[in-house]
Amino acid sequence: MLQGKWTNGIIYFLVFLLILFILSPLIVILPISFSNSDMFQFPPDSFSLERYQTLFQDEQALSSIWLSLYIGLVSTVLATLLGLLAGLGVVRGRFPFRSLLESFFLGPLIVPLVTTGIGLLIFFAPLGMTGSSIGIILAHSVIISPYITRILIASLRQFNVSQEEAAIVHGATPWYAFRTIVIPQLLPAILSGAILAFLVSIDEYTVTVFLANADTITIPIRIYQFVSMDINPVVTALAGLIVICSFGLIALLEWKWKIHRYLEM
Amino acid sequence: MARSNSKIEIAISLDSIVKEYQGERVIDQVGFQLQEGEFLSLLGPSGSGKTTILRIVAGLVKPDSGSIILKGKNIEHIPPHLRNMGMVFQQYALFPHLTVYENVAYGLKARRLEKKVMKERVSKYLELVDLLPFAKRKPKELSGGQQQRVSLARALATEPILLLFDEPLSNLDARLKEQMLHEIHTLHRTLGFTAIYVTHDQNEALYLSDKIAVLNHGKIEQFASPEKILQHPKTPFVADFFGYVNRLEDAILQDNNTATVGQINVPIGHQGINSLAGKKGQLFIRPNAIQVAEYQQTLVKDKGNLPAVVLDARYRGGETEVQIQLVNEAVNLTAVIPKMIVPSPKQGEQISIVFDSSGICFFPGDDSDE
Amino acid sequence: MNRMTRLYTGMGFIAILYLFCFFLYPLLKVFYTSLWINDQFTFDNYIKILTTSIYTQVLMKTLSVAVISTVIALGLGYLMAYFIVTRRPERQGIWLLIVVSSMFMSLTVRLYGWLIILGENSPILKALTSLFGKIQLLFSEKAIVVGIVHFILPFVTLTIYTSLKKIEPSLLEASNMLGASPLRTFWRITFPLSLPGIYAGGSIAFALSASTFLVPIMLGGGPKNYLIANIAYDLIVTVGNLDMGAALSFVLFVMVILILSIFNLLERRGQHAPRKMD
Ligand SMILES: Nc1ncnc2c1ncn2[C@@H]1O[C@H](COP(=O)(O)OP(=O)(O)OP(=O)(O)O)[C@@H](O)[C@H]1O
Ligand SMILES: [Mg+2]
Repeated sequence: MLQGKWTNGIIYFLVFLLILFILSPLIVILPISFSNSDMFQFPPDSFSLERYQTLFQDEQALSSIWLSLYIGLVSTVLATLLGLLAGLGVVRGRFPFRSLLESFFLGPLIVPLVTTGIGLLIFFAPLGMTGSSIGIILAHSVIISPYITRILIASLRQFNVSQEEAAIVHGATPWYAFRTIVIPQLLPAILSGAILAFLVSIDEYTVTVFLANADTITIPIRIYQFVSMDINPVVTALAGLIVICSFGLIALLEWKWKIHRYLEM
Repeated sequence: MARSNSKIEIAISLDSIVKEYQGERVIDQVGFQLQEGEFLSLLGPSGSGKTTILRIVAGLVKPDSGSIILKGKNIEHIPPHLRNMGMVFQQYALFPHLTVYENVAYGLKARRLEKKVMKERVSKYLELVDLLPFAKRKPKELSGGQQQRVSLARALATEPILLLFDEPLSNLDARLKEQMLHEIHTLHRTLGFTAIYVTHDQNEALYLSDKIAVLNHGKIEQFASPEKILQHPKTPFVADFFGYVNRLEDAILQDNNTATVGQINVPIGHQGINSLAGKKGQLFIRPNAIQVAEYQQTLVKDKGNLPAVVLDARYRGGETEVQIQLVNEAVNLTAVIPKMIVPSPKQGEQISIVFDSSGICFFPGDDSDE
Repeated sequence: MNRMTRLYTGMGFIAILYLFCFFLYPLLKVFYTSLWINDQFTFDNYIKILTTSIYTQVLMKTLSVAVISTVIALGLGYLMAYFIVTRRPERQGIWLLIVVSSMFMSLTVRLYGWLIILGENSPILKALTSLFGKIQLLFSEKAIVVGIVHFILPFVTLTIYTSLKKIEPSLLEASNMLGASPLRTFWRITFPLSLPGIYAGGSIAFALSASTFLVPIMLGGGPKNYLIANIAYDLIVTVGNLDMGAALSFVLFVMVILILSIFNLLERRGQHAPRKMD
């Protein structure tokens, strides 16, 4: 579109810098996590898995990893159900003020997390639910649900209603039609949304920090603790592990289902 | 005895069905009866309520009032999945994630049929629509015509009481349309199902149907056999819809067989209700009811012939359509000569025409309306 | 479709109920709490926030950081999105992968990476220092902006990309064929048509930046660079002043909603503009 060698060259250069900017934290973290020097050195001078070995012996880090995985999995299941109900309700149900309802369902993404966090703290504290993983799970299920809801809304809008009618006319109960026609076709969207939501849960800090106590230190809170107390060699390995796993998952989603289609705001 | 006998034969009857959307009456007192094995077409322009009637019958839309009796049973409160109907949709509405086989088997599976019976049934109907070799494919891997045939097999497979079609051919090209038309007709003859077929194409309706219901603004204008409708359209709307192209205003009825327009006498084959001699009204004339003496030798020239001038002539599917103007009266007409005239009649050519009363009808004007 | 619709409407109600309990009700509770000091109903907290300089300064600081970050992210995001959308279709996937993966890559980890990059031992900073003299990025407002931009850039890029993707290629061809220069085509056609994407990207960017919590505590280097969210947290967890923290967080909430409504209005007006042209 824009032409000319000069403009082209400039654009390429700027984009190169931009990509460098986007990737720079990862470019730094990965090599350091695979080095063994005690000092923080970049670029590192040798390759080693020492830091990862330390990570897998560090009780604190391990307990955080397990806790985060547990919270992530359970809250993702809840959020997936919630997102499915919300998406189907807003696209297919009969509601007045449909677009307002949609904003409400996507609201947890827009409302400042501190506000949500304080609200849940005020709500949960008298019930004795702060510091428990149940409180954090409920909180996460709400915060991460918009990612699933949005993906489902986008893919439901492309779904042809007459398929369900065909199913019902030919003898399917609404529930049978839902199970055999709607769900299987939404599966890619549901799975992509769920995996992204899971990643968001694993990384959630702001709300979690209001609800967590010493027994419920999730990965991001642990990383912040490690970082703010002292630069602990374990933290680079933990960060490296997260980078590798998340990138793997996202690459899989983008390659299989082109998830970027669903992520427009 | 005779009474119960005739009762069994009625497959479905609708009575004073009304449906409103946002205060607007979309279906207005619709009612008809269909005998077992009959093929009914709902014919009408876009927005006349054809699909809505079909969906009411299927149970996908609830009517505001009226009753539907299916095989002697009121089905008002029976949900759609228990009505035992089959439906073919305009956009096919196949299940894209299932194979052709699974699509056809869907209704049977929903009814928890035995696997063996199911397999036989699916194979039978896939065979009937000539798609057995494609059983393992996904709908996306088929052409439009093939997809519509899968949809047909899916609707047939449950062996429904009533088959519903919603403009099933409108997405196909002209050639495929012909082929499918023939196929649906053959299936109807061999299987003998009862069907309601929605279309806006009079040719489809005429080709397939035992009965045609012409709809206009949610009302049935006429419900009759194709012959009846073609020869005796009940209202100007029906006449217009079935190719009575020429419409002459200010005609006056003389007696049972003639009307006059200005100085010209026109023989009429059919007149609408409440026609009395001296009444003003409209004349509707089919193009093929205007015969051109010079080109149709079977006619005997006599003094009843009217002189006319050719304005234009075009070929249309092996026929010749001629625009003419009468000499004695400033009236333009469209005539069709049922063969190709080569070379075609030239502009300005003097001809003479004869009216064939069987394609002409008179409708008295509504005095109060004008 | 009555029965299916009923099924879905029922499902929607369950979702509404769930979100009412764990989202709307807590938010209302925040507002309610902020209005009660020592069992007395009062707007004092809000008056205090709007009149005390500590709070107004933090408000202004948050607002300026958010606006600056949003503007920078919009510029960079537009460039990136434009670049991607002008690649061949089969090549766009790999670029989008970079964007999407950075969007869902742990922010804690990315900020940790920035901590290293901007830290004292970083060779990059050393190189920059040797070029431009001593610069202190870490633990400054600039570092916060860098962190926030890194956080919101993928959201903005993807949103603008989507709006650019929707533009009919034939429009651009027509414009070029009518003799408009590429630059003119861009400013007269591409850019106006991508405005909805810019507004949408801008609103999500602003909402995320204004309420950022993690970036200041990781890159800001202590309370001097705290933004509203951090102050609210401190008030509640460290000071124990629940009602004041609630009030402050509610002010942040109102601010975000206000700005989003403005963007929304702009976006809607933008949607009418193309119709006027024909
Ligand atoms: N769900 C609905 N809500 C509101 N109005 C409706 C609804 N369904 C149909 N209508 C209206 O009812 C009228 C008849 O619609 P219907 O779909 O039955 O027409 P049709 O004869 O099938 O037309 P077409 O040939 O275009 O398919 C139309 O005016 C339409 O706008
Ligand atoms: Mg229709």
